Amino acid sequence: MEGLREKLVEAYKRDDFFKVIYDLYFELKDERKLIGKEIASLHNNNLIDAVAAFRQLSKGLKGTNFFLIRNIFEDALPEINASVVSVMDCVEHLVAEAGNNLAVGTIFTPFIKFCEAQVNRPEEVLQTIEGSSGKWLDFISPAIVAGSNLELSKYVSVAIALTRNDNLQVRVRAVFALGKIDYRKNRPLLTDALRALENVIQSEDNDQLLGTGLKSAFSLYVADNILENDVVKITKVALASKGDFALHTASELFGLNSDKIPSAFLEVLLDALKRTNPQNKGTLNNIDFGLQHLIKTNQEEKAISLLEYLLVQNNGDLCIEVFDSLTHDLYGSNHPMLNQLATRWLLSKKTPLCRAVMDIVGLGHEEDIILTADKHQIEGQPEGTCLFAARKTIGWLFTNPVSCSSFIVSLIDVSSNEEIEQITDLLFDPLLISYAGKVKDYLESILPSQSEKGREVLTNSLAKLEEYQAGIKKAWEIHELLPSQAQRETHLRLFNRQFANSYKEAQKNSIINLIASKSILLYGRKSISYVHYPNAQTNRMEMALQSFGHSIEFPRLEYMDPHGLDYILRIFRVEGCER
Amino acid sequence: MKLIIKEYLASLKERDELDAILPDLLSEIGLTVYSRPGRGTRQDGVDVAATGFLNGDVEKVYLFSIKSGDLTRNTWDGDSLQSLRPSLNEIIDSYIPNRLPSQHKNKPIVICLCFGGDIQEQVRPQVEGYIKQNSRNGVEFEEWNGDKLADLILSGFLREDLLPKGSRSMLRKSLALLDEPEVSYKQFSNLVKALTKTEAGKDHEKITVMRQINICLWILFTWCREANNLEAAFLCGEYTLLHSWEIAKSFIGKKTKTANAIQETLDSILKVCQLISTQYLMNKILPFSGKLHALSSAIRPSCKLDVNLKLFDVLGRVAMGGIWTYWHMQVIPERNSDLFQLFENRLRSYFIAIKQLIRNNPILFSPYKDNQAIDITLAIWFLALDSRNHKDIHAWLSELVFRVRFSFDTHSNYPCHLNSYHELLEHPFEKSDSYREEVTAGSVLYPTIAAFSAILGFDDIYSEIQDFKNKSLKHCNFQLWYPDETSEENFYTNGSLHGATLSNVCVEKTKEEYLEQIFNECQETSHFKDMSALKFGLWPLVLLGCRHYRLPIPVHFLEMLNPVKEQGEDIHIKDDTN
Repeated sequence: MEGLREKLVEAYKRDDFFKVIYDLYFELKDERKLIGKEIASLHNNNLIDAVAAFRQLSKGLKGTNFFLIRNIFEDALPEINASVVSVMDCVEHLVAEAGNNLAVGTIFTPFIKFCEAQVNRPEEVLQTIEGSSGKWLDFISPAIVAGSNLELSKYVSVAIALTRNDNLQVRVRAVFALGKIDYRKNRPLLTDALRALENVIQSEDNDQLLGTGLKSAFSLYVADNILENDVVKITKVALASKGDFALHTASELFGLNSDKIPSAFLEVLLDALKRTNPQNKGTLNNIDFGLQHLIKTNQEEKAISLLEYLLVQNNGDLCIEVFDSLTHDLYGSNHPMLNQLATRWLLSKKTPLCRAVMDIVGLGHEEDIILTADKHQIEGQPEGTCLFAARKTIGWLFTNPVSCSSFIVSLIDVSSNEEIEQITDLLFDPLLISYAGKVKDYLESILPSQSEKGREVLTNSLAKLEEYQAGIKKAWEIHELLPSQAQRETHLRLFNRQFANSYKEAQKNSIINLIASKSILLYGRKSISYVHYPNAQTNRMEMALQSFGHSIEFPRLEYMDPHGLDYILRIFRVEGCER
Repeated sequence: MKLIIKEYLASLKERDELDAILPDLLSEIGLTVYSRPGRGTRQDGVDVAATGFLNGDVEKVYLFSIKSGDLTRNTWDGDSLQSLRPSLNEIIDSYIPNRLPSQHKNKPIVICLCFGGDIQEQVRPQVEGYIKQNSRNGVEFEEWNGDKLADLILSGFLREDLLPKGSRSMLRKSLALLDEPEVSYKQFSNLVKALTKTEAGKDHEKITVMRQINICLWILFTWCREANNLEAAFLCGEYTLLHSWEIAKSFIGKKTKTANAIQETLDSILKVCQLISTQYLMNKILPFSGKLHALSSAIRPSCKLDVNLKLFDVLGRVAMGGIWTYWHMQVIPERNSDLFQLFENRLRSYFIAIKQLIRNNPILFSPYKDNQAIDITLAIWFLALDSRNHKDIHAWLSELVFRVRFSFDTHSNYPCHLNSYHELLEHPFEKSDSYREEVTAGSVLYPTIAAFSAILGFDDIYSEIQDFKNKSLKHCNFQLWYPDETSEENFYTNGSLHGATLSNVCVEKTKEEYLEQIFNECQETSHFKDMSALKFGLWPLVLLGCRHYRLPIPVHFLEMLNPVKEQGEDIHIKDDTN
């Protein structure tokens, strides 16, 4: 770009360097890379001191964006000629300024390239670190990686030697570096590295070191699959310690590298991940991705076993909603799998699994999905299984009445005559009594498509509802029983207060608040605003207000027999379950 | 006011409803009533007979033949036995020659055609023709239609010096707000309070007050009936009866003219209260008690609290209906009479209704307020009159105690001593032990259930209450209420606090020791036995007062159940519930 060089020099002199870089970043769009290269060129020609300048970059600089400007430095860094120490100092500053941001470590990649630019630089870095008494340890791994790209054998040896260093943090970096080196299929070096890792893992008990070693060992396996057995062995040892960090590493391998994991390695990981601490959300997130992958690759049984183990083992501390990718898959697109799981879990006699069915079905809030029992799991089961499943379904899915009804209806064809009678009663009370709108509409809509047995059950249940409603309709004209106006108003006030509090609470997490400002209109049905253009023109705009509303069907039994309902739902939930 | 009264008179549905106020009205305007309406007795066309001076005229005999509503072709001379013309013929042909008391024989006679509405135009020529044809020396006819009666009422016991503007306004407001029964009740109760302030007044003033509140209650009732909402009338009826008793109690048993007048008016008030209660229960509640959730649903609730409060209230009312019926049966001398049979059938229907009410409205297993013990006590006490109901009582109490404990353990809606609607709406306000202890600091519910269990031999329920007390309610003062020396003075008007509480009753001991403790206290004083309603045989009034003013039922009533059970004197009624 014409004049870019001059602009940068002028800005540097004016002490306006970062502001200009920031503006140029948007101005150049596709040619942004040029800015970094131009800065490197200016620095190398002694027109500016880019390293010293970026050493001053601060996250709090107004009118700019720290990470965008740091990106420019990252573009410049590989081509900059500067002392290793000054660059290390600048990079360390930029890492520290980035704080906990995910992009914090991206600067080490250009730093590696910077080191690779001159063969002595990696060694210089390591010497600088050695002489700094524990400072700049984060540069060990980039220096080794850069060095190994220039002199593979030497730096593998350096790394292996450092795995025996007295300083634990040095050992951790060295172990990490062993996993980052590109061995270029050099099997002897890979084997050496593996042995070094094996030694570390067998002799160390530090969780961080074990986790890092595990990750590096897996990298070695990826570099050469022939190492599988050894890597599996190392992994078993590393995970035997049950440390959170090691387990988190295992979860990363499981979740983020699932397509590369060999079967034996997967078994080790699955076994280890059963011990995941339910408080470690990051680990659970990785497991979520891994489970999702297993189900997509037809390894459902493995996924379900781990999931069931985690849910049952951590009853009360872990709910299935943590595995949000998996549950959304199940809820959104994988209904056959959901039906299988619902049947399996409702019959499992384990409350955490039943609760998981409720949580998945509840994802749609009151938007119910249709559930169908997996008849293969029910056929051949002892008498009473269908009734047991029906009662469990009501216990857990009562607040999703259509899902609940659909599952129960799907049990009819595999139910015995004795069970049918009780299922008919259950459909009427508590389902139809509570949800005379939704459930009735649903049952009527599916009536024609049912088998003869199903039609009979639904017809009988609906007839009971009709008789029930006829009984209560006659009583609706008893004015004497109506609550007083004062009571209605008191209740309304409380309801409004509770609603306002919920609304306020929900708004705290609303994305609308982040992307838009709020203004309250007290009157009218339209909002008038003027849009101002640069040439002083204005444009009047009218925006019509839209109304939105939502209604839910509140279960009638919550009024008529709240405590009986509460009690029976609790009974249905826990009856027959293991304590 | 006149329009209000005319509306009331026109809407009286039965002849005997007009009968109920006419004697009082005649007495109030200066006549002496010597013959009152009687059930089932032939009066040769005369429903009410009186003598006296009206409008400065000479003393005359007034013979009333009464019809309800407008005088139509049918009620004038139709097929009905109750038509007016045949009654008038009977007066002329039979009453005057044969039954007119000898002391009145020489007095001029006025035959009064009395009806609440007007003469319809198409029948007027016939009526006038009849009057012309039958008028003769010493016998004349007068038309006492709704307009004239309203004038007489207004110039009689509702005249301005007796019913001042403020009181009239209260009456009008109570009528205008019938659809908001609590507000209507408030206005009406203020009216009754204002009228009955003449406590220290002369006896004849007391008679007037009794008559005033009687007619005001009638007016309210008929308006409620027209509006198809008896709630205000029900509440006002109970209130009026209790206040009337306060005035009347000192005259009961006396034979003076004033005492008779007061007793007659009290009887009239009791009758209208019974009429309201019966219409409310028989038309509005009992037909629906057998339908699952029908009454719960009829409340059209905003929340479960609405259902709970109303259903326990209804339970208490149905039980009171049954108790009054039982009382009627006790005061009827002829056990084989049709009337006794009628009440016996009605009693059975109340038994059935209460059991159905509970079965079909399961909220009745979960009291939210401790003072719902009052309604529960009324229902159990009534059901316990027949030993065949005992297993139903057991089933109810057993489930009730189970649910209460479940609610208590889960911090759901367990019984508490909060009373205001807004507090109950948020109860339990928090699920903490400290809050729970605070709102369950005292209870009459549990000791009452324990007492019934001990009396009726429900050992399992008694043990359950003991266990509940021991494990969860150590902080709670189990207590029972007894009338004291100020109760008689305050009970019927809810004047001020009265009665005494026996604290920390010994539920933890054996049932025999427990009953001994609570029944011994009954013997310590005679305040209960000295209550006027008991002395004069109107004992349901005490239960009514407890229900109305939300006072616990005195333990003495529970004591009464013991002999009933032991001596096998319970009334045996065919049970069709199951």
